[in-house]
Amino acid sequence: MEKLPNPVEYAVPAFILLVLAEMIYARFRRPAYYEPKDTLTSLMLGLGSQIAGVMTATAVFVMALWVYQYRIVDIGYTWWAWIACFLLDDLAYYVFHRTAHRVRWFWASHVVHHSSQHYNLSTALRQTWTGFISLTFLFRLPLFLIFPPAMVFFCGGLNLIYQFWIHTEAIGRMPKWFEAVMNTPSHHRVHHATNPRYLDANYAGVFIIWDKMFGSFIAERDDDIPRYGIVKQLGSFNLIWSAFHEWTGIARDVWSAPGVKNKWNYMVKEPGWSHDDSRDTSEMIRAKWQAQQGEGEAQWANLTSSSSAVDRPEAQSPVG
Amino acid sequence: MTLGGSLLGVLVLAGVAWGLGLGRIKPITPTEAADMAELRLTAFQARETWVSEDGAGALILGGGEAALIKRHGADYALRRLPLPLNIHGDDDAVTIETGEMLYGPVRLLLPKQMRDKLLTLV
Repeated sequence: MEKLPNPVEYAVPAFILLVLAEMIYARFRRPAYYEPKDTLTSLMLGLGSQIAGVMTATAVFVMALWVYQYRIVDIGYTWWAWIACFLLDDLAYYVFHRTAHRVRWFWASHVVHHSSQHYNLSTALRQTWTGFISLTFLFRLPLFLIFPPAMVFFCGGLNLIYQFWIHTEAIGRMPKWFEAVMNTPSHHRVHHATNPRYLDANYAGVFIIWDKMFGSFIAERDDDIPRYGIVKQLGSFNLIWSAFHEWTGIARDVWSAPGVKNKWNYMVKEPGWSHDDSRDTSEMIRAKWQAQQGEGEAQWANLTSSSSAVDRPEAQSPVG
Repeated sequence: MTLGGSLLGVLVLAGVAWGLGLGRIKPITPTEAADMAELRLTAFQARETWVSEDGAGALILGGGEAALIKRHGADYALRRLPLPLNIHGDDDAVTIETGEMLYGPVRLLLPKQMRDKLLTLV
């Protein structure tokens, strides 16, 4: 078995330098772009994720080796195998990532990465502690039927490194040809946004082509600036709460839900699902927003005044 | 890299963010609060807005519900609350309870006249 280095370890110094550079950019351009308490929470979550990864690495590697003994081909380490492995690993990432947003069990782990209301390079390092518990490694297992485990893990590391730089607002749009094929800061801002228009889109890791192929691509618009975080913002920088809040929510719902079917559904249905329709899923939020947009447009069409300032229903302000 | 070294790196980076004075935002205004509630809470329609004198929080009344805003670092975190609210007043402020330990209650500093009006409304 080949032994390959972990590329992420070599990338860490670059991660730190780039975060520092972005902080200096924020200092002069937008001080609210970084929030020190949020940055500390994100980085501590990243550190905890690394520790959790080390603790579970052996188990994941043993499973990879177990699957690999049933491999259907013996490709080895030829140059084209690296390309194929990188591509298929990115496809596996897409499937994992889409599932992580659509099944609450996986979301409970992945939500950690989305729970910051800021979108900067420190957000890229905000990672889950419970990836192993939520069985995220399952999505990569089929790759070991084709490629050597060391190659798959190496490609997975490269994929992770690529995804670091796209967590920024400091870069607007990349050249058109690049935006067409690759995941970019613009595409990934949409993924992290809570705007109804942008919910559940752009799951890509490296290549945005998967979203375009499977109908989950939404382009960023200049008239709908992304707002980041989760639909129900945490409102807390508590590290433990950030790491486990959705698991707590699942436990609470499973405990109190009537019937076995509802208990099961609270684990496997999409985030926001409830047995009594008391909460909103992303589809419901989008539908309400679209209905509201429709009403707005209808009202606009019926208006006789030409002043948009007075036509818009204004909120009264008792304290001015 | 050892665990201690990584932890030190994390603390240094967060310290740099603090040292550079990052995380500053202006106090929220009533118009901003109302716009924020309508933008971030789907189908919420702002009617009346109360903003804390320190600009760190706001309460917006909509149709049969309210939007509660609290400053959360360099941004604001919102909650949609049904009416009537769990609200109580003291000498300087009103406090709105959310029932969430980690989001916590939100205290709005308001002049007496406004406090009294709000307490009668919700």
